Formats: sequence, C-alpha cells, structure tokens
Amino acid sequence: MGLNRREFIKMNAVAATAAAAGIAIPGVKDALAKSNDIIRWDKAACRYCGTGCSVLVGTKDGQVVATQGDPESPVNRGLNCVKGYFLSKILYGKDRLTQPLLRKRDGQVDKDGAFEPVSWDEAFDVMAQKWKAAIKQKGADAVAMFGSGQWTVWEGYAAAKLYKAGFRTNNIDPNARHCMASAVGGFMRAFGSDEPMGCYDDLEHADTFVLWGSNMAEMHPILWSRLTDTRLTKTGCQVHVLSTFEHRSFELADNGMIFEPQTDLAILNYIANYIIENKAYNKTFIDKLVNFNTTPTDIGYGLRPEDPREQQAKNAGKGQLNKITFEEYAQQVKPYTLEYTAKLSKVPKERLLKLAKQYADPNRKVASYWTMGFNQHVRGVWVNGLIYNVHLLMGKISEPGNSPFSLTGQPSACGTAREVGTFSHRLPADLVVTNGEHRAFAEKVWKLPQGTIPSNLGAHATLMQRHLKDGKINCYWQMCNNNMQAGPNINEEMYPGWRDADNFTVVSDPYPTVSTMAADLILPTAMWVEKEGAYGNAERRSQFWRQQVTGPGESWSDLWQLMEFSKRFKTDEVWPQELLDKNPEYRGKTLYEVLFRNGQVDKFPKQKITDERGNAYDNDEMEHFGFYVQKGLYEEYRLFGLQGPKKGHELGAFDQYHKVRGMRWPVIDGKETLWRYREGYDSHVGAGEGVKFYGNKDGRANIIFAPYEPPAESPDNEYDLWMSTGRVLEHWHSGSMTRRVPELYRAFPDAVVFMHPNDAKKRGLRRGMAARIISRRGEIEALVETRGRNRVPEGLVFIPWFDASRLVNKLVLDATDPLSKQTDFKKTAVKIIRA
Amino acid sequence: MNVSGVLVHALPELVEVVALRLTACAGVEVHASTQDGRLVVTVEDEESLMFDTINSFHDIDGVLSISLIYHEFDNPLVLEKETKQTGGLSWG
Repeated sequence: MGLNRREFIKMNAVAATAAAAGIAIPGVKDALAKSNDIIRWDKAACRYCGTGCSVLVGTKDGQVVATQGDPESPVNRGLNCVKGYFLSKILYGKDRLTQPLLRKRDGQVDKDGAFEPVSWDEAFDVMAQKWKAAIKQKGADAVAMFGSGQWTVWEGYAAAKLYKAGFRTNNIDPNARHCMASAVGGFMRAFGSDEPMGCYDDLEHADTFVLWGSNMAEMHPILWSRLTDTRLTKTGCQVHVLSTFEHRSFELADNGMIFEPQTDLAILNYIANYIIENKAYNKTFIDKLVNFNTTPTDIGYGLRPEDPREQQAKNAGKGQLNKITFEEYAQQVKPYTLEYTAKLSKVPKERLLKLAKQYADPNRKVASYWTMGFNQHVRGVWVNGLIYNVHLLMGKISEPGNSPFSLTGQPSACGTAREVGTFSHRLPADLVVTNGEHRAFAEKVWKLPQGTIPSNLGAHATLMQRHLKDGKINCYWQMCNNNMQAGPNINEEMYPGWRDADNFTVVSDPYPTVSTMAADLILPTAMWVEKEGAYGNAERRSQFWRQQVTGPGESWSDLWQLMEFSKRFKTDEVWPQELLDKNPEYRGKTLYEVLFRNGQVDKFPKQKITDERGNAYDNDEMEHFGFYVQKGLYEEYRLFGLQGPKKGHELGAFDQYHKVRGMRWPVIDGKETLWRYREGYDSHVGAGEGVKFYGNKDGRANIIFAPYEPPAESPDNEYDLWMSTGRVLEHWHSGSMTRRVPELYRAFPDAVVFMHPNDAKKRGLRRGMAARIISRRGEIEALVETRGRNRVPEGLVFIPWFDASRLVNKLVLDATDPLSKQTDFKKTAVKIIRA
Repeated sequence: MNVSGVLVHALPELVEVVALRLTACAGVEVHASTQDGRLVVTVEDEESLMFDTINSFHDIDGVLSISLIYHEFDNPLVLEKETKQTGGLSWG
C-alpha cells in the first residue's frame, strides 16, 4: 500500500492520537510499518518550564520534523501544553544566530562599532585578552558570569567549576536568582536541605489544593490538568486560589481570594494562629520534630546601601535564627486575628476561615503550591517559611497528599542552578563557599590544591549589575538567558554598566535578543536537542536526552563554549604566585587541562551513541574534545552527592538515566525517592524513626515566626496603582523562543496592560486604547485590556513581560528580598495616562 | 504544511453532533470516536491557521476538552512580520 507524503504524516498523527486516547484503529500500524518514510523517535525533556514534561522528538534527514507528548512519561502522560506542542519550531526561527558577531570599527574592536561576523578564534582571543587584563588589574572578582536555570546539568557544572576553581571568583550567578532564590532560602532555613519533600504524585492524593501566588492553569498547564482531574473525580475535593488578581486558575476555585499585595504574610500567620487557638496542631509531631524560632525584623529591601530605606532599616540583611518556645511563638502569631487579617488583606472573613479550616482539619490532606507570587517578594524567604510553619504545625508534610510544594519556572532551575551550585554562594549538592569544610571537599573532588576556591561571597544577580555600573566588574559573560529583558530597573542599573567603555560584555544565545543587542560580543548557541543534555525538574526528577540534530552554521553548545574558552588561560596567568609555589605541579597548565583533563572528566573515551532500538546519534562535543564530555562531567559531579558532607543528594548512574523517563533523587541502589524524610519512602530514614528531617543535624525542622512588613514601594498620590508583572500561557519568559513560533506569536502578539474598567474610565481610557505606564524609573506604552483572562481589582494592573518591544522591567525597582537577593517583580507603584 | 493530531473529549450524548461540527471545519477530519466521548481528529493547514482552527473547537457545544497530541511540519513556517525581539535596539 503506497502512501503519499501527506497521507503518511496524517497517519502518524492518527496513530499517536489514537494511542493517547486508548483507541485501536485497524490498519494504521500496518500502513506505517510498510512505509519507507522513516522518522527516528527519541525522548527529550521539554525546553520550557519546570514541570519537566517529556516529549518525543521525531527527526528525519537531520531535521526535527515532529513532536508528540511522551505517553510513557509519568509527568505528562502523553499530553502537551500549547507551547510544548509547537516545541520543535523553536529550532527553526529564521534569524538563528550562526556565527560570532563582534562590535568593530575600521577593523578594530570598538564598543561603538557595528556587529561584524568574526571567527570563534578571534572572538575567544578578544575575550581572553579582556578577561586577563581585568584580572591582572583588579583581581579575579573583576570578571563575572550570569548563567541559567536552562543550562543542562553539565553546562552549569562546567561553568561553576571554570569560575570558582579556574578563574577563582564566586562571581557566577544564575537567572534562577530571579525566580527561585527565595524558595531555596526557605528550604535551607526550615529543613537544611534544598527542594521539595513531596512530588507530583501528590496531585492525585490531596483532598485540598491551595495555590498561593501561582497561576498554574496558565504557567504549569500539565500539572493543572492533573489537579483538575482530581478535583472533578474525587468527592469533596476543594481548590483554593489566592492571588492579587483573578486569573484562569480561579475558574476551578471553590474558594477564590484576592488579597492586597504583601498581605500573604499576614494570612499565613492568621492560619497558624487559628490552628493554635483551636488546639488543632499535631502536638506529638511538633514535640518530636520541630524547633521554634524568630528571625530579625525590619531587614530592609536589598537596595543600594545609601538608599534611605536601607539606612532606616534596623537589621538590614540580617537573618540569624533565635530559638523560642512554642508558647512564645503562639504569642507572636496571636495579633493575626481573623478581624485584623481580613481588614489588612481585604479578603472576606468567611473565605479566610474556610481556608484556615482546610489546613486545621486533621482528616484532610492539603497540598500547597506556589511560584513567583511567593518567590518574587521582598519577604520571599519569610513567606516561604510561613507556609512550612502551617504544614509543620499540623504535621501535614512528607507523605502522599500532604505537601508544601514550590513549583519552578525553568526546566533546570532545580537540576542545574540549585543542585549543581551555580549561585554566587554555593557549591554542588547544597555546599557553600563560605564553609571551609565544604570548600576542602570540593577541592578534593576536583583534584585541585587546597585554597583554590575563594571563600568570599560572589556578586548575586542584582549586585553583579550594580558592580558593572560601578566599574568593579569589567568583564561579563551572559549565557542561556536574556537578562537585559528579565532583570529589574534596566535603565538605571543595567544598561549603563553594559555600555560603559571600561566594560566588555558577551552574550551567548541562539537568537538576537535585547541582551545580545546591548552586548559587545555575541556567541551563537546550539540549543536544546542540538546537544546531549540533562535537566532536573521541580519534583527532583533528573531527565536526560541525546543529541538529535546539529546546530545551524557555526553555532556551538554552551558546554563547548565554556570548555574551549578555558583553553585560553594558563594557571600562571590567573592563579596567584603563592598558590602555584605551594603546588608547582599545576604550573604552566591551561585551565582546560586542570579542570577538564584531570583523569576524571576525561575518563570515558569516545564511543558510539545508540539507543535500545539501534538508532545512532551524534555527539558534537565528544567528537570535538575526543572523550565523552557529558558523562565525565556528570560522573564527577555525582561524587558530591555520593561522598559529600550533606546526605540525601545521591544521583543515579549516567547510563541509567538514558534508559528511563527520569528518576527523583535521592537515588539509592538505582531506586528513586518519592517522599523525602519519611520512613518507608526515604531510605535515609531508618526503621522506627518515622519522620526525620535529616538535613538539620538534630533531625528537626524549623518553624520560623516572621511578621507582616510593608513592601519597598506602595502606591501613593502620584504613582497610584500597584503593578504586577507576570506571564501568559502562550509565551515562555522573555519570548525569545516562543515569539518565533508563528502560532504562538499570533495567539498573543503584544503585551497589554490588564486594568479594571473603572480605573481605565477614570483616566479617560477604554479597552484597546494606548496607555503610558510610568514608574519612578521609566515608562512603556501598551494597549489597555479590561476583559479577557485576567480580571484585576481596582488599584492594580498586570503586564506580562514577554514582549521585548515593551520592556516592563524598566519600571521595576531593583529591590530584593534582603536574605535571598531575589527581586520583587510583583509590587511596583505606577501611574497610567492616555498615550 | 502543518499536520496535527488532536484528541477531543465531548459529552457522550453529543459525540456524533460534535463529530459533524468538527468535520465542517476546513482541514479537519475525524478518524475515530468512542461512545464515552473521545474523538481522534487531525487538522491540516497551509497558512499557519491551524492554531485558530483548534482553538475554535472550544466554541462547539458539547466539547469538554482538547488535548494536543501530535504535531508535524514540513518547511517550517517563518514569520513574515518582524517579531520585535530586540527591544527597538538596532544592529550597530
């Protein structure tokens, strides 16, 4: 039977869809089997959010031609969201970058010149010269890197190693600082170990779901479909949704609550107070497993020290915990009565009460989910802690359905940014640069002399931009993200530093973006399945994929770029004499030799990459460097979990991950862990121990009281509206990929300002009219939207940030949580007038 | 050319009516349906209208949900219009 091309494609679509529906259609399989039109199918983790869906990627003649949801994936079970559905098209935007581009004039490197194509050799020569000059003049802290929660595991690992051990500076931070840092702070303070105790299986086990500052319906649609299934099929199941405006997740809400920005702090303390006053708490659990603490208050807003708000703060930046008794804790939450909280938050009393009862009922399993509403918060670490307080008071944690769960926005914010330790204060597997024992362990694993890793904290995301502006950092390499669109206060604190004549900025990206345009050198990146990769999702699941196609033109992966660049430096050029005198065997070697040819990273020779079906795959990095780079880096990295001072971070063997649909760490004897800290699920908890929070030495978790404190900036007479930034279903982050997919671009082409009709009317505006949105730091123009998916209350507007032609982050203050250093993108004071 | 495989869930009592309405849309074929309301549907297009077509399924009475399962394309479509991805900054 002969099929023409179109019939054949249609037959593939029918076969996949019928399989997902569980329907057998006679003849389809036979027809496909007889065809010569062969597509090679293989799994890969999705390139977008932190859900970590698996997709099947269909390749033919060196091009990705088809994708489908992976029916064998335990995460998405064959489904796609609309972004994931058109995933393969992100590889084929017409303006892919295919060669390095350097600003030059009259043949010379010139900051004011135009971009000209150059060879990789010339690009790296210029870069290395700038890096060496800066290090020689000002020391290693004059160079920096801004990386990504979209890096593959080994890319983040290689970058951290190159900066912390090679250049000897901790000036490396990921864009995950903008999205996850407060969650990390919350985990470390409460449990002494990063990342959730539960997993996505909680979506089928909970009786009540509570969304805190998470629009799961649009931002994590596949998880939302699982939650919806449970809500519609389980008797008595409830969904509670809290936000500062009404969004699509409210459509399923049994209890929707719009609260005044920042008052989530008060609402959580009210729930704790309700639990205590009604003696609903789990006394056995807290006696055995909980310590009560306070944290310093009036801690400022992470602004520049000369800002009056920092000068006035009594305890700017402080976070040392002090132990208190249960009774003292009860006294501290006591002022958060129903009356007080309802008045402050503007949420009706009966709704708050209904919410509190869900947590306080010992017979209901409660899963709490949060994303940027909690994390992008000037008290983000506090508010993350307050939700753990509520779950810990009830003992509703670490078991199926009882789950406080921090969702992530990037595909490997967990797997790379957090686990690998690409933050300015971290090393792999929860270790930190400020701890001598941790540094010594890392140096031992890396086969480097004692004292190689510096002990001072590096510059975090916001500080890095301030240092660039102040001339303390002169060389800056940004990779796998678009910070000039994503970062706060662009006009005042970012762009000036990038364009300063003393600074040299490099951006690696697959596409032209606002960032590449602002840089001095652009490096073209081979992305996603153009390389072998690994991502770690929000439920601790690490997933691997093979290289499916080769990147266009001269593009190379981030991993290749990092390792190739390391060849340009000799230890003698970047390490101090003292270190080399003590360890003369490291003299005269390149950083490439010291870091990547250490007998460990280069341990696995070149090999053929095949799958169990006999298909063959390329590996461009292995071909270039002559050894199995990804495997060597991964197996070295894995030693941190297997032998390191913090237990509970064990990962499985490299080859195993290529065979399975991911595994959730800790992986012990090849087996994943679904719920941490509980006997029977987590093999680190021994027989008879029940629950043990082994991240902390005494096995207890910390309840930490923190009060309501106001945000850095609130509306006043002139700037009279709250502005929150955020996302929409169709676009992912800065839109550099999704806006190049025609279907997604057409579905939501331009950012709009979502406004209450009364607020619009008061300003002489109507739906569809152009408005100027102005803050103390800048302004943009956007069309007014008073209907549609987001219904904002009077006094607040919402603007998505995906649109590069409307850089809404120009308006945002660079205020951070003083503990996590994560920016609050949700609370900017603005005014709006007719354009 | 874009071809999509879409799984449509409809109210069981309306599955036949939904199938008829779907078939009336340009480029849409229904390959199978079940008594409990599942329909195996393909959508074809030439001019990047597929997404609009699929979205319009939501407006058909009796359609409960739409799952996007499979997507294949020849000659990737490119945007004719500038996507303004560079924030108004120009080369040079």
